[in-house]
Amino acid sequence: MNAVPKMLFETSPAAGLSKPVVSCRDVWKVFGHRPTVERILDDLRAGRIDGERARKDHGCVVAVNGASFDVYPSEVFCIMGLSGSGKSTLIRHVNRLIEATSGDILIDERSINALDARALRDLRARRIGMVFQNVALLPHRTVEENTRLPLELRGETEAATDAAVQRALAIVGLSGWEDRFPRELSGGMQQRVGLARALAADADILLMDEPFSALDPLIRKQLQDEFRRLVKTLGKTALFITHDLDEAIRIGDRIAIMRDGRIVQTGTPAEIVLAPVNDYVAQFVEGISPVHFVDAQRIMVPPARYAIDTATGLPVAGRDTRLDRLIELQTESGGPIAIVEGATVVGAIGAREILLAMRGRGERQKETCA
Amino acid sequence: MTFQPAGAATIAAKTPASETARRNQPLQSFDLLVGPLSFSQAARRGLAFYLLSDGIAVWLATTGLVAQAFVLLGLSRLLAIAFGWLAVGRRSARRGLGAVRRPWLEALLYLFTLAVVAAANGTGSFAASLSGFPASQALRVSAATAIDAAVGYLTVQGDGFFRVVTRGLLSLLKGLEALLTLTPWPVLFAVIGFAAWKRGGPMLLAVVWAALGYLGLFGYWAEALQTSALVLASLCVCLVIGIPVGILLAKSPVSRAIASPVLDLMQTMPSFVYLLPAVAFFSIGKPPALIATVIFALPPLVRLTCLGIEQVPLHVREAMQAHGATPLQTLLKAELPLALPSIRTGINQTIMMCLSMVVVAALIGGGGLGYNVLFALQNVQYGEGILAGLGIVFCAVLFDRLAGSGRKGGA
Repeated sequence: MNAVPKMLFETSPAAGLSKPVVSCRDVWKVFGHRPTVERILDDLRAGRIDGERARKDHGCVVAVNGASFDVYPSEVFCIMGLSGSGKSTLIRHVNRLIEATSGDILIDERSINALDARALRDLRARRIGMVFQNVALLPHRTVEENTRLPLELRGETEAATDAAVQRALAIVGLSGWEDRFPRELSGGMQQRVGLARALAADADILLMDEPFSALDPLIRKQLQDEFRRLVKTLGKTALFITHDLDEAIRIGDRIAIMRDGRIVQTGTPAEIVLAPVNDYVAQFVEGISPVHFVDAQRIMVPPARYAIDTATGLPVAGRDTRLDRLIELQTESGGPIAIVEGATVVGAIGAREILLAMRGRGERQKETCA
Repeated sequence: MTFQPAGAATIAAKTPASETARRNQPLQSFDLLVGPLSFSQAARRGLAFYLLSDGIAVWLATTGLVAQAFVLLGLSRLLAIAFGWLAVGRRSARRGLGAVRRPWLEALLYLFTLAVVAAANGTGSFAASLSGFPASQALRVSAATAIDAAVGYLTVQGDGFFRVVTRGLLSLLKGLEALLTLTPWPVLFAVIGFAAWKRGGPMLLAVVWAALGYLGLFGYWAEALQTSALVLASLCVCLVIGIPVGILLAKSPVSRAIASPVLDLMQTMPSFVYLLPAVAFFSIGKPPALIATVIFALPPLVRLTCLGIEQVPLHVREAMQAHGATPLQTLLKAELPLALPSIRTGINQTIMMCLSMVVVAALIGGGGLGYNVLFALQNVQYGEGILAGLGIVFCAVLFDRLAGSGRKGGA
């Protein structure tokens, strides 16, 4: 488990530097009798009614509860939550398969709420590709015909379509399968067709609604890595829904954790794992090994503890060295590691610090309990 | 409140043999009494129903139909009890929805009920009214007269319209008939045989040729072609009407709620009943036969088209939408292709129902094999009747195997 790809520790490539591609601003979705929903919406916003009360007293279901997030260009943004947490509902707001009760969805900083039917179709056909958990291929069409669907729908020329379809199928590794029908393919391959269909339209935003959940673990892992690589090389921006934190950590640049329609924490995988905001998130990250997330800065002690003056003769490491590397250094030399910045020793790490870091979760739980 | 036991006793005395009725009697009178209370479960919609029924009852009472007013009241209470029951069951599933109770209104209505009932009791017609349902000959006669008048009015006013429809249907029929009858029989043998071969191999070819051979040898060739033309023409009309209507019903719950009882009516109403109005509108001959056939054969096609489209998985629709499909594109590229097996079954059903109508249609000049059967029956020629009937069966076999739902093996 947790064979985490290297880029994980980086912050999101463009976060904070460029403008978000997709933004949700205080999005609410309340299902129920429309007048009732409108009547109780203000109370819901103000917190005078909670989801439980809304359901019991008013027969309304609060699916999305004031969700806000930004997704930056070329970023993979994971929304993680258990079933019923509203994540699938939320992602459907981005291409308006579901209309928000209130709140704004912005694509390239322009609200899509006001788009008319034609403009919305255009947005869906050109900017946003979507992949579904149950694949949703058309059973009466071949792989090739399924892949060409979005281009066909927007009235692209035959030649342009053919080229795009071939390219998309090649990217997902399905060249040579064009004339098969979906039922002739395995689950994993069907999902590749789903992905090819989304890629063929050359949309720059990909909405992935639990695409790999129904696959067996090995195929899932393989597709996760492939997906991540593919999105990065093609420079796509992706919203990825999952109920599996391992998957979110493996794939996401940033992760938003949802519970009962509310986003409880947003951050990089390291932030989520190392600093869960509450017990709920802490419970999720309990099983995640810290070796890929903890760095030297976090656990080093003053050099005096190990009576270190200079780094001579000792293994050295920078502040940002990760725990897995520190373990290697420590076990090779058997002694303490000097943490250096330029030429000066700023800290030291011994076996004790490493062991405590590995046990770190226990300490954090103690903190949260206290 | 003495009337209650009295009424109960009347019924019990009238039907002494019915053990169940007697056992249920006390409960029913009790429910009749507490009807308004049981009804308190039925919430707002029920309240409207209650007011309506009581209003009509009062109106009936003022026009002198006191007994009928009472029966209506009783019936409305029983209905209310049934609905109240349903409402209780449903609400326990989703508590808090529509639970509007108006005890004071219930009480008021209850008192009102008692007053009306007491008034009816005073006239002495109450006991009599329970022993036999207070039928109103006049009501039926006036309704029937009204329908007659409506048909007469439509016949006159819609004359131009009916003429156009008649002519259109007739030319469709004549065209198909000409196509079939002008084709030399060996060509038909060859064409149908080839289709059978493609569909089901030598076995089906043998069956099809045997059926054709029977029709030819026994001299039913021309009649069989006439019947086939009628069936095909009906099928054309059914397809043109049925598939769009089926799509509409699948898309709009309101139209489905309206059309569902109409479809039931079309299927269960005995076809003889609308044969006569059809003649009034379209005169005697093949067009009214065709229309009667369409009325009878249309419902399965509509229903199965609707069903097929409804059964298209939501995620397929969602995928089409998510990739920028217009509603029409979704319909043509996803929903209809996925509904096709169901629609095919509907077409098959429709063909079979068309064939089952040929004898009835012959009554008003539909001609074909149906006329042979009819003629044989009228002249008590058992043998001829059975042979012609078999001819219809073989026609059905041909249609079913060749235009069937495609479940049979082969390609």
